[in-house]
Amino acid sequence: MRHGEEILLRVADPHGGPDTGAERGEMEAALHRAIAELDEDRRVVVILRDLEGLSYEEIASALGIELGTVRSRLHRARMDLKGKMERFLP
Amino acid sequence: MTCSETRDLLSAWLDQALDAHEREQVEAHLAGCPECRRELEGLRSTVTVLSRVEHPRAPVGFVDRVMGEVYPAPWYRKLGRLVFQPLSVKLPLEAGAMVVIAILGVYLLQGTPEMKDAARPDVPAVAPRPDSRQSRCRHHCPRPPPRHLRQRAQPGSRKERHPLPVRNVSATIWPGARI
Repeated sequence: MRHGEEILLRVADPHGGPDTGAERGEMEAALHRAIAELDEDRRVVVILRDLEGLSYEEIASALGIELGTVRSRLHRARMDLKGKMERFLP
Repeated sequence: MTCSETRDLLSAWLDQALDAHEREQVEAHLAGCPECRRELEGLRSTVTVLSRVEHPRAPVGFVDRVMGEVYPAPWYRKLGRLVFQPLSVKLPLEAGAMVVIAILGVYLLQGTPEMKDAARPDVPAVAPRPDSRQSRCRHHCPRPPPRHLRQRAQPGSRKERHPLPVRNVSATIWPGARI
């Protein structure tokens, strides 16, 4: 391996090049847009669970709703997001 | 359990938020239903993407600026913040001020004759006795000869025997005049 190639390998971003970073940024932008487009009831639940990391019980207590309602709202919110993020999913 | 009932529980199954009975039912249905397994994989990918999202962060100082607009700080608090700035700002300022003061002090001590005299070591505070050697002037008067070289004026010496002749001052002024 030539000296220049060693330098290029050493300075290369291990997490991917600019195209990977741009793709990740595009995906995150699309995800934020998709979350913003959700119905408010579903948006609140998915944010509390998937972004803030609250448990189902904590969400039910915070919103004053049943545990089953948390489950169904979260599932519908995720299904909505799955449909909007189809092109980014493997 | 039907496909619809199972899919309603898939999110909770992924989050391990089902009780043991519900979990067994879901897993039994998934074992025999490829459609629901495909649905589960799509849901898992969505949750994985969601978990990688970085929380949007407000710019540094944004919250402080907002709260400052909501609750304006009184003038004395602003003055206090100005005086007691963060240590990362205050310490370099103080160090710089100390260096400037030190340089100014050295410049003043070396620049003016008064400050030069003031910087000399002090003379002894005790005044010497008039008859001591130190009372003699060191700058203008010649030192006296050593004791063994001094010549005493003895009675009958040359100075006594031949005193200087007294000049007739009047004769000098008016020659021939007698007083």
